[in-house]
Amino acid sequence: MGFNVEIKQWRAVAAWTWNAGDDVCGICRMPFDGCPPDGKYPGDDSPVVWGVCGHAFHLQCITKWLSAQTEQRCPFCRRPWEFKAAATAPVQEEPVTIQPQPHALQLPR
Amino acid sequence: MPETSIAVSSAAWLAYLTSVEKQLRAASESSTLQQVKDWPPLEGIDVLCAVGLGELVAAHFLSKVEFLLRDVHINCFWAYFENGLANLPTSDLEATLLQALQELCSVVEAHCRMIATLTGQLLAGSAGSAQPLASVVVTLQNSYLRTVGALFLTTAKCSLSDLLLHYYAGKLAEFGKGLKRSRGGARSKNDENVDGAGSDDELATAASFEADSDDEAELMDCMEEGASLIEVFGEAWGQRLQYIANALRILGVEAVSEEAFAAVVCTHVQYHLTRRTQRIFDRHVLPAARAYVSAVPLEFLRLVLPSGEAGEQSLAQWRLRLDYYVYETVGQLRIGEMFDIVVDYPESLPAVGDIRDCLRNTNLHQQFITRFRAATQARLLHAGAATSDIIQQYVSTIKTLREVDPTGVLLEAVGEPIKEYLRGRRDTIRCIVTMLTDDTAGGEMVAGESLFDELGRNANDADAGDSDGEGEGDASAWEAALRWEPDPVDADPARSARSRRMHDIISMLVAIYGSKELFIAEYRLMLADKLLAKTDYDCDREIRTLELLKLRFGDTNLHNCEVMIKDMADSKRIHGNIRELPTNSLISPMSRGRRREPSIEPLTPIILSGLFWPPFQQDAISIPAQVQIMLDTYAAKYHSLKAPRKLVWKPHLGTVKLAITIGDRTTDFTVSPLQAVLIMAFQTVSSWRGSELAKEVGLPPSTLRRRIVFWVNQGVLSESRAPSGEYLYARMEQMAETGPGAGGAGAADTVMDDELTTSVATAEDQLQQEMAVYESFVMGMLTNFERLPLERIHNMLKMFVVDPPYDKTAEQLASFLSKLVAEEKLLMEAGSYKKR
Repeated sequence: MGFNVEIKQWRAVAAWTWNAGDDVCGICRMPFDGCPPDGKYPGDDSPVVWGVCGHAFHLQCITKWLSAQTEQRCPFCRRPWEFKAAATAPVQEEPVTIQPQPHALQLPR
Repeated sequence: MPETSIAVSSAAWLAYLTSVEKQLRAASESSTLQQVKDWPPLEGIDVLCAVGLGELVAAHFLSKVEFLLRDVHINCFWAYFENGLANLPTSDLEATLLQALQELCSVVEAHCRMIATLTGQLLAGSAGSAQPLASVVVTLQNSYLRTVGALFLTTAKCSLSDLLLHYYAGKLAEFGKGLKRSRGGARSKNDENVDGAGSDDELATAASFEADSDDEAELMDCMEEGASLIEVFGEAWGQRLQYIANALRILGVEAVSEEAFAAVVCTHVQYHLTRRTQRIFDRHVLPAARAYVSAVPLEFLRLVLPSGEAGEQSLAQWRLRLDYYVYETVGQLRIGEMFDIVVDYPESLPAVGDIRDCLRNTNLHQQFITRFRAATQARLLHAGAATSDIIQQYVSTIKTLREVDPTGVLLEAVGEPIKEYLRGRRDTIRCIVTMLTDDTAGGEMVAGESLFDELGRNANDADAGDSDGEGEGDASAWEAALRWEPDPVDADPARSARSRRMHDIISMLVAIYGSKELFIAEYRLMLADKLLAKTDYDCDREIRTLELLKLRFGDTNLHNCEVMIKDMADSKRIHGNIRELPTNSLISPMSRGRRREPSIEPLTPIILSGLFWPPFQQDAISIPAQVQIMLDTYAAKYHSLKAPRKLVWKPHLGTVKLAITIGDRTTDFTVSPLQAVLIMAFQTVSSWRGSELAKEVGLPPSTLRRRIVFWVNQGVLSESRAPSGEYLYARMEQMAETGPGAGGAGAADTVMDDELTTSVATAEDQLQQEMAVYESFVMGMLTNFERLPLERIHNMLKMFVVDPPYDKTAEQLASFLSKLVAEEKLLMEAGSYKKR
């Protein structure tokens, strides 16, 4: 005799988020989880990057900004712009320990 | 005047009188009639004329003849018909009519000849005298004939027109019958395939008009060998008819006769067209009908109308008149059945062609619009018709009227009420979108009929249509100007011709709501539903539909949907990556400290870009720890792959496949996560109180009851009531045999709970959510005022709620308030609301 429930398949639904605190890119004013004006698809095609100053932008937006400026500065705080190294978002307390390839600019696979 | 001349005159008068009496008596005896060719001159005329009494003579003669006609001859004529005519067969009627007319005509002819002689005498006698006499005398013959006609009609014992109607109808029927027989004979000669069945009568009524494929050709033949027709009936048949028609003309009642045969011919044509046209949509009627008209009724008319040039002329007129009559009658018949024709489209294409030709040749447009609209109103636009049927009929209407009237004026007039009605139905958009995207509907619809096919077709020729429409250069503009045609007279001048020319079905359907945004929004909702309900990642079909829609509505409008579908593909890819990721290589924050990594085997999640999906129903449930660990592990792996991105689970969405073993039986279920959570609670605990279970899974108790009923119905759980009134749920020890899930021992059943198939918030839910903002306002108002009617609540909201402005209608507010009443937050008493 028995009563058993076995899960054969669980089609769960999740939404991803860049986890970027402030919801809107400071340059294009579009949500981080959306795409910048030039981007067609969100997510992999519209990555979000952080500068060492802690401000986040869409990669496309900040690249455009930087290429238009003579000096490489964060458009918010005017500090010199440098991409923050690890892929960890500032909000995240615990860094992921296993990082396949540390990269100056973390692009999602 | 001298005495002598008076004496002479009276002598002459007496002589005149006697000779008149004598001649008239002779004229009345039909036996002598034939011999007398020329009437001898009357006596004493010259004398009377000389004394200026010519006019008197003429008047006297006329009145004399009139008396004679009235008292004798016309009475004789009517005596033939004393017994009434309804019971006379046509042949008898003809014989009687023929004899009566012959007698009357011979008398009239005799009189005419006498008048001719008299006229000659009078003219000769008064050669030297004043002019007026001549005019009287010349018109003598005409006034005589007029008198005959008038007498004939006024003294009638029964209606002459009835008599003639009866006669002509009989003759025409005979004619048709004879034609049929001759044709039948010809056919039996050609092939031995004469239908022996069917009585002669039936054949006769059907006349030559019963449909065969070679019908038209044969009718044409008949027309060509018109002469041979006469042979069939015998020459006398036609001659008798001709004689009677002629006699009537002589008697001055041509008008009555013409009226009669016109009526007969029209009835005949109408009868046959009705037989041929009604409920037969798969055949062109017009050509055959026109051929028939020239073969039968026109030939008949040829006999009835006077021969010679005048006859030819009126025959030509009749040909035109009959042609028009055919168009008109067929048009009216078809218009009466327009609704059915549309239903039968495209099988009814020939009938549609008929209508087009009829409308082109007549002015039935107004009637068409009125009657078709009325039919649509009565048969389609009522509560009993399913929305999908209405849309289907609307599509058929568009297709049909596109054939009938390329200018689109009719469509505009007829389609407007349908559009108006559809606009009032809630599920219209959903229906259209379903029909539009449903590529599986092969079964019930004919290939090439479904809207999905229409979508594909239009996508193909959309480019071509656009390119020639937008003429940029001077040359093309000039060409467009040359091609310009004025709008039809009955077009609505307020609309531009361009709007009318928009005949493409999809855009017409979209135009029901005026914009494509609503449409796309609904499509997005449906797509979300469809994608979420999938258990795999395969969405080729959706991609196909989406590509077609993109061609039509443009990429930007459907960008959200594109992202949604791309999410599916991405989910599949990421899912593959995550599975390959070695479990022990990951130390996620959630699972740290555990010995064993939980298996994520059963998980096949969809990872979606939240901003691009429609808002989901907010339904929080507590996931059992066992599953939560799986989800957390999965999320951690995702994060390690896609850092810094994270996953946010929406635990109430998705589907779960379960295998439930009770006793020795295992049954498969496909259910919503909520159902899964509910049943999993029973894995460790065999029975639950309703309220505790509700707390465990994080649902309000009322909702719990609604949801758990599913498992009770499936025979997996049992429901009972504790003495306190609370519900108790316990797992079954044995799968109930009666449960729907018990179809065959151990059979894998896939059951989906209806209620939860919609995971996306509907437009209605969204409205409710919007209204929820006002709940606090309403509550506050009712705290201050104790009770308020709907009107005042509405007005106060309008006045005080400014950010965002209150833009709902009183009806929307009423439905919101009644929802609050249902939730037992408010009380409705005597038309006003109050707090509980």
